Amino acid sequence: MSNRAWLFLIPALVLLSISAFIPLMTVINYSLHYIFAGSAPTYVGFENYVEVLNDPAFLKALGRQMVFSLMILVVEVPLGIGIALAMPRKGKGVALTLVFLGIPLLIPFNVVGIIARVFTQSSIGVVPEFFALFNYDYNVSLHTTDAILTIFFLDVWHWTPLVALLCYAGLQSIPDAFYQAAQIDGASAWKTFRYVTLPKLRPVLIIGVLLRFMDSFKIYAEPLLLTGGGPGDATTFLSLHVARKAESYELGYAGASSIIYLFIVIVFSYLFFQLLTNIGTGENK
Amino acid sequence: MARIQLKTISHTYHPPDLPEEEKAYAVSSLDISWGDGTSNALLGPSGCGKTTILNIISGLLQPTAGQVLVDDQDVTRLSPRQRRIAQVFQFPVVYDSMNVFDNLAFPLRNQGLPEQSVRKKVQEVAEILDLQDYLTNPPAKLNAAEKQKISLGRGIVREDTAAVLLDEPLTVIDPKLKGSMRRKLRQVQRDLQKTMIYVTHDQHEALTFADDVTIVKDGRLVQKGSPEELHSEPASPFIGYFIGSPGMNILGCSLKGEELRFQDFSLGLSPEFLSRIRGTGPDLQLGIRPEFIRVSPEPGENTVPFEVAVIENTGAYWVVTYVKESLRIKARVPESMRVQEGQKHYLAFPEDRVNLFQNEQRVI
Amino acid sequence: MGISAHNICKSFETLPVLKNVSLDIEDGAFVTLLGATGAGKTTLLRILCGIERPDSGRVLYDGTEVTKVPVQKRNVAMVYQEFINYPSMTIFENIASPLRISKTGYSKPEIDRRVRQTAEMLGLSAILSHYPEEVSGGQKQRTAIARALAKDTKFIFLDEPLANLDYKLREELRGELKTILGQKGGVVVYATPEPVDALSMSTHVGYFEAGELLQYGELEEVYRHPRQVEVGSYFSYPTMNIMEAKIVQDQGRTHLRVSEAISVEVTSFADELKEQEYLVGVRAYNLHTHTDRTDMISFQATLELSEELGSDTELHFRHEGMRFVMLMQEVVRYPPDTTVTVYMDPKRLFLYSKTTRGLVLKTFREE
Repeated sequence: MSNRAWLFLIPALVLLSISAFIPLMTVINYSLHYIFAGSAPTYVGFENYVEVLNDPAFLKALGRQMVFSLMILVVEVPLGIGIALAMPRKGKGVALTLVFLGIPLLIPFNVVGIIARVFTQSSIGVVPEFFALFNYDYNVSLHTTDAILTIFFLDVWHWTPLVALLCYAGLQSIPDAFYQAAQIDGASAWKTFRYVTLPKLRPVLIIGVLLRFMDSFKIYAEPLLLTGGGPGDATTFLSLHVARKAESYELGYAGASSIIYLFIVIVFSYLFFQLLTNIGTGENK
Repeated sequence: MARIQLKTISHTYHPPDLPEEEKAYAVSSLDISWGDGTSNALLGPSGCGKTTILNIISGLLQPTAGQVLVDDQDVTRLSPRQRRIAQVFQFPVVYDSMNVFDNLAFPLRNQGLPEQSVRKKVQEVAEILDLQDYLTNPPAKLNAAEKQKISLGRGIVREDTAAVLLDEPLTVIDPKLKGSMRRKLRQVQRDLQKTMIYVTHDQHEALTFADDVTIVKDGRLVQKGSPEELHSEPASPFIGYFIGSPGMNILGCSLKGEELRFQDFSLGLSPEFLSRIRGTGPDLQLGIRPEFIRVSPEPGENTVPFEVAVIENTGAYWVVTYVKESLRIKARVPESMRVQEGQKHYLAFPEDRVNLFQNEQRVI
Repeated sequence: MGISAHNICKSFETLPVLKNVSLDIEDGAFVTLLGATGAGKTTLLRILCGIERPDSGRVLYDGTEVTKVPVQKRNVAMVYQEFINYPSMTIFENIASPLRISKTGYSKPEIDRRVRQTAEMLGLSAILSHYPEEVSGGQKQRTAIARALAKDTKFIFLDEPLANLDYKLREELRGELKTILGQKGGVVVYATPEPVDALSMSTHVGYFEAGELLQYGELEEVYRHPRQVEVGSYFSYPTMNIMEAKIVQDQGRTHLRVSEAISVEVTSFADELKEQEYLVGVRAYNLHTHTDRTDMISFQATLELSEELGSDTELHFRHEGMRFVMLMQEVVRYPPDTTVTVYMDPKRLFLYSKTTRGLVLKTFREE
């Protein structure tokens, strides 16, 4: 890179250091001290980390989070591919489908949360009304499954279009010759998908899986606005748990759990990346 | 392997509800037959309809009119898979997620062949194509020539393949490897005696690969014949020019008495020659290949003076562009002759090497 | 005057692609940079025109250093392998575009005159009002070349401009480019992997292999005296046959022996041959199937393949385990496995050292 290019990067680097680097350093600093409210911090080494890792509340939130993110991936990725495959390749329908898919992506998290809250309110919402038709008592603030499934459904509705759009762009870039060759080779529809479409989609799928994993791992606004993490702690995901601790001025604990949180995201993202990059490249045979 | 026939094939990309006079046909009333086990080429300039014909044969495109026959069976409405016609594309098509062995085995496994026969067949094909050493490699790391061999391998691995179509298969191959790949393709065809049709704009590739070359221009067949025939008996001035490097010189002329009159010179004709062209009209085109023009610095009998305008070296000989008024003629001049721009040379057109055309058709 | 490059080095990541390349290009030269894919020719072309910057070394235009001058400020023209035109402009506007943005400030009639003149030269007059997507590949590339020519520049760079064109168009454009670019003056630098391009158009040739400029000089010089066996074998069409030979002394005469049948007397230059083993090169068109001469070396060979090339035939045959290629200037088809007598012109041989691979001598002198 030439010197001038670095010059142009300086504003971005400065912003990044203010917005990311400095807070991160502060958090690391917190995580190594015992701090409560206004009292003077005492250095405690890794005590906070030990505490976090032995805290059943943290471990439960982590487990909940893992299951949730895994469910998101298992549903959103295949569903996204399916939608992309079903989308028209050319003609007037293309623009229409793109706009239709784009709408959920334009709505901010908190708005989604608020919409959900209004829709699911036991007294005024349409959703409980709807379920009442089937004699089902839908209540997010009472029933654990209702709350979890509602948040899950919201996320699927909100973010599957992203996976679909990524895959759609990926599909458009596969040359026709590959499909023609598979046809000539006598490949079934499934084999064509398995050996042509899927391998050619790999680069966009890697991006899609990573984005969806990282994003779903950070889910915060929706459970907070819907039920505030309840009923009980049923939808208290990792970020919600950490935020609670920070709000209650347990800054050492919050700092340590944040760092562990970050570490988990990095490790899993790396694992997914490696797995997806190497799987089925014909390399291991 | 099988015989492939096209019967009065026409195709237009325009919608059928368009009035007939507004439709442009990509190919029109083609009648071609390719014999069982033969090596063929479909040669023509860009946009001549080659790709359309290819897709009609393979079944990727339904012709607007006409029939495709494989061994006298009408396959016009059959899918590519049912036709058993394999294709090698311009850009290598390999399955990235399988190794070379699995790539070659793919069409066989799709047929549900027992694994033991698959293994045997793949080994055989790998040997023919010199791929034995790469069988366990992922194809991504091979060069374009090897990937093209895999594409070809998937075509020839099936016993029931009716024909293999090759669509400009050397496009992305390094110039240094082109020659050996060209010879490999030809050798495979000879050894296996499979019907193959090679589509290209490159006369070298077409003529070296095929025993039978079909030339297409503007969606119509213009000549079909062996490389020797195309060179010595071109059916039209276009073919004379299109085949050979450089192409045939085409000069407008008229027959007056015992002479051929050109813009500002004339050539005397022998009685034998005259008797062969008796009965043709006066307006003719003379065609002579650059390699058959005799060039001399000294005037001789029945020679015409021309001036040297451009000299191109090819190593083995010079290609000299001569001018005389508005006429331009290219001739091959032996490497041993010293040529300079502006020199005057005397050109002779040996009668036994001359072609005459009338109304774009060959007379002799 | 012209373009000079001094000690150019360039690596991509850790892979060196140019190793200390120097050359001087004089005004009026049409230089072909020849070499296989990845040999470094395109990288040098891009460094010479300023798209790429060398890791070390200097580039001079007319004696002025321009190594660090960005390409926009160099006033050069470039034609790429892909047909690059402005899709939303007509052919006329495409050719006019460099004139319109030129600092010289051309008047309207002047632009019109130049565009029409250049278009005439390249046979584009009839399609000036068309858009690039409406014309053929050959016309697109002609437009790109016309744009380069219309620009008032001394230096034109072309990167395999004919690679994506039909065979016949390529053949036609070679002749035209030689004339059109030759008239232009200035310097033309042309990168290509095709020996035929170099032979038919250029005045000078540089041959690259693995990032090194193995030889640079006038066309005739490089073609007649390929300094390394690599240069000779690449810069020949179709190819140069390379044979291994040993020095044999016999009754006071010195022979270079390739096989029982192929043996050349080299007594007259015996003192120049100090080593025991040599490589003998002979170009494909210096082998014949018939001859009137009596001094030809003859040997029996088995024909493996004959390839018709339009006006010529390439014969591939084998003699004592060695493979040979012959170019015949006629169209014939030999059945495979026939035995042919091959004649080799002993006055057309190149002798290369087996150790240094450098040219030791040629058995022929310029006539």
